[in-house]
Amino acid sequence: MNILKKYLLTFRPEILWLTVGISLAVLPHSQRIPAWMTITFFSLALWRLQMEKKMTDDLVKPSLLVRFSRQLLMLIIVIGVFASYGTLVGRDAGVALLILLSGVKLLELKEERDYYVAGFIGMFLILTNFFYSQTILSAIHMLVTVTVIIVFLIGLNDRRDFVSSRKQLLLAASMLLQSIPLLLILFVLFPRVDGPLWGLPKDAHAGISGLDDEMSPGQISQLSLSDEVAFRVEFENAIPEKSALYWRGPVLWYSDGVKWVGDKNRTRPEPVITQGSPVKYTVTMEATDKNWLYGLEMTASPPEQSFFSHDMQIISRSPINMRKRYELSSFTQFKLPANSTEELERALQLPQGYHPKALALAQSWRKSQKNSREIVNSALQMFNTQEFYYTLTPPLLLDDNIDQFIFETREGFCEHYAASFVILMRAAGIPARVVTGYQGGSINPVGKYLIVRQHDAHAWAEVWFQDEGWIRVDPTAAVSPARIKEGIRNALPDSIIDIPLALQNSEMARNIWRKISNNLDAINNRWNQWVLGYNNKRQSRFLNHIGFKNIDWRGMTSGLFFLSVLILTFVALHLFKSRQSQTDEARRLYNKFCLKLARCNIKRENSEGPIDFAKRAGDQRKDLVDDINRITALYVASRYQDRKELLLSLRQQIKTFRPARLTRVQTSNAPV
Amino acid sequence: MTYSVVLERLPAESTSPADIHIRQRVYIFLTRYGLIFSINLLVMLLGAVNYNNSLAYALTFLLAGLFMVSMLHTYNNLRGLIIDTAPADPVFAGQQACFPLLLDNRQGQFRPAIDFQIQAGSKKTRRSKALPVKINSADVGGDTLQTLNFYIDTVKRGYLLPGRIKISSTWPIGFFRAWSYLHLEQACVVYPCPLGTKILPEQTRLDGEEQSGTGIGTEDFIGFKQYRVGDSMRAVDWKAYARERGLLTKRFSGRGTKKILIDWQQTSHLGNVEQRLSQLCLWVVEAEKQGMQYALTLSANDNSQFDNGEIHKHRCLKMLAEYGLN
Repeated sequence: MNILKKYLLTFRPEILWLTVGISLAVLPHSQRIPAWMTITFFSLALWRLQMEKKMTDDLVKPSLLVRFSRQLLMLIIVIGVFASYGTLVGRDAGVALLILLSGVKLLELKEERDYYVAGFIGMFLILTNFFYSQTILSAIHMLVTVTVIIVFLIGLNDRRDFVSSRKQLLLAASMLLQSIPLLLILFVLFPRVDGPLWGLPKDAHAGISGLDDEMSPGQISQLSLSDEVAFRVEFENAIPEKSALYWRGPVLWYSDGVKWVGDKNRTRPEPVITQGSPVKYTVTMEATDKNWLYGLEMTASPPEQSFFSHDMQIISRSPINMRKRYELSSFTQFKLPANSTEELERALQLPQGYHPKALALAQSWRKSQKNSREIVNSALQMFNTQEFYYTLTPPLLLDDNIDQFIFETREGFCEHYAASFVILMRAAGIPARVVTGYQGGSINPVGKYLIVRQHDAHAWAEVWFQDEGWIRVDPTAAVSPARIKEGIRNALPDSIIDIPLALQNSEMARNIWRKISNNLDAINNRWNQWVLGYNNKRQSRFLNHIGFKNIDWRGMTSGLFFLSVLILTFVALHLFKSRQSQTDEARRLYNKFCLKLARCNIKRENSEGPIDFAKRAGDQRKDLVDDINRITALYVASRYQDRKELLLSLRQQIKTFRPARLTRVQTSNAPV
Repeated sequence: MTYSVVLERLPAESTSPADIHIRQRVYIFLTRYGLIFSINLLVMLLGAVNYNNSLAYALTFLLAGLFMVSMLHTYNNLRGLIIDTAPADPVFAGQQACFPLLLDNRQGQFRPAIDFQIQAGSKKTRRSKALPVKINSADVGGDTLQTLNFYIDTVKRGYLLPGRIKISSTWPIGFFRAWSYLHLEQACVVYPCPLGTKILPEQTRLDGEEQSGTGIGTEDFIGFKQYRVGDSMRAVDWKAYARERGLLTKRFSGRGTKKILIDWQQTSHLGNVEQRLSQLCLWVVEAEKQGMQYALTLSANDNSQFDNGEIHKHRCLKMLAEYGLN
């Protein structure tokens, strides 16, 4: 520790703070940018520190070589970024460029201006992190990094190193604390504008995982490895049974033998016939960059800015590139009629020349069974009674994937079962389609809401019966009933889900782990709702709620102005008032002593010297005479006779000095 | 008379009613870094709006808050500082005049990085435009009383009025500069530069009265007297002072004391007024150094008595400094 301290002391403090600040700002990016960029940036930062050391050693300016290599470096960096991203504009390339430029900027700190500009680049880097991550952790990271950069700015203005690093840090922290009320006011009241002001770069929302509107084997099982939240649901009343929690997503109609895709037909759906009372709930959906919403089967009416497709998907008019909150009501008992006979024809299409064995099997069923329902049952029975396995890691299917799955490997995830089932049904002449979405979810007991994660992604089938319309059939349930009843956590070993290996053996550890993660998710949910999801709608609703009905941007701006001035006034009062001496320990202690006496109604006048005051105070409180005189003598000796060694006992004396407060009656009798 | 300048605020407890406190306004404005920073903030805000990114908003607002709070801190760095001025000691032209500023921060916290700068263009210094701009900088500790010596190069004899001093600070983070002005009302007397080629004029023996004078001179020691302001420092008995017997001045008998008259006319060989004054100045300094009784005559109305000692020397040198100025 001491060696480190000594080493750090060899640098000019502001350079050190600046380098640390920018490095901190770059740190969260390092998991996203190519490794060579991280390495380049940190080498540049270290080079800067090393250079600084040399400069203080023999006062050499950066040599011509260094200056030349800087130009070269810039060129290499620009080429490197272009090579990595294929462009120099856009979010990712822009951020990468900024990171590397900040490293180069560190090298060319010469004039005061360079230092400030480097600090500003550091602040910008903090901002760019939020394009990727807006968790609570990134907010804390922001506060820490901003503090370091403030300390740097303070150090820059402290040209003669007059203020100790500790005091600089304290000042920076107090300035930050004083700005936080302003942050809150601005955050709540600054009029929010909806949507982008101009086009976002194409890659603005890249890298979001989630269900696609097409399906090929292995796609959904890949999602099952992800713990990312897909959406959260708050139910108005009780949460329905897990086996009823089918969250409808893209419906797939056509197969080319491997890949399934949807039907873009824009006809309106037939109205759903519903039964029973609706389930009311609010969904907070994470950004997907796709334009469908998820709803519990079967949704009664689409939320604002969205509509039903012919196969009852909820389609939003614009892609969901931000977290979205919408209210829905669904009926778990329903009848879904077919749209048209064409629709039924489409639901019978088969890819030409694929799956011969499966087709033969289905045709044999057709011959032996009387009605459609029996055919469905025999397919499910096959999955149930024969050696079929539900697994996340199915063997690779190279040839005809359906035939190979049904007759050879027999190990598959939901998409294998759903796809095979639909192929079998169609071959047997029963209209069928694949439905993808999420199934189940985990209940968070802390916030009383349901979390649906990516690993809850699921695929099932719908078949059409003459009198009943489209009926949901989940072939996975035939193989692994636990998947549907209890969710994927119970259907698959824990290790694939989210519990660290070390905790798996103990039931208690697992429970504690779950409890902690439930609590964290509840906090995260609040954070998402209130901080990240604070848009103009939430703003007006919140302001309405706290009593500002129908406030418009003018009202908000004036409120903003008024409250900011109010807060600044408070900060100013605090600043201007706290003029107590920091360095004169004796006086500080004595003031404390005077305060204690003042609480007993013995106030020291401004014009009163300590000895006179002691005399008067002693006259007023005979019981305290000894204490008062002793403390005053110590104070006088340590302050006016410069005997600093007495400070310790003065501190001790004043600490233990506890004058008893006289009751009101007695004080009124005492001479004032 | 001393007077104090208090930046922006009169102290709560006036130390003594005799002191004059002058309240001086503190102004504040953006520095260019503050300007760059606010442009930076605007760009950040646009980014936050465009991406509808809550934490980007939060960072922008945090920095905006910091910006506003830093203004108060900068202002506070000067507010309440008390500055006492004292007259500067006279100097010879070409030397540096030293204006002591007493920075009284007994009621305040530490105030680092305060700059003191002479305002070159102010009305009062127009006479001495050639003055180089000096920036002094000080860190004032909390609860301290410290002196900042303000050195100004002198060029010409006469009075040096530095005029307005700008006191400013960008502490703590350089986004704002707070400043205030201090008017130095007390001029520094600048003597001519002691220069010349001629040795001291011949000893002048005027009327007999002085020759047989009873008086005090520089030759034989005759005893002590109590020190009086103006007595020559060389006549003080320092050993007695060291023995804590007080300040005593050694007295010498005046018999044979040298008396010279330093006369404007004696420098007629020099054409230039300034050169003549320099020569006279050199003589005054020399005569004082040799312990002579001397008198300076510049004109019929502008002359001095025979005398000796620091006060006399300064009186004479001041006459030279003021020559022809009114």
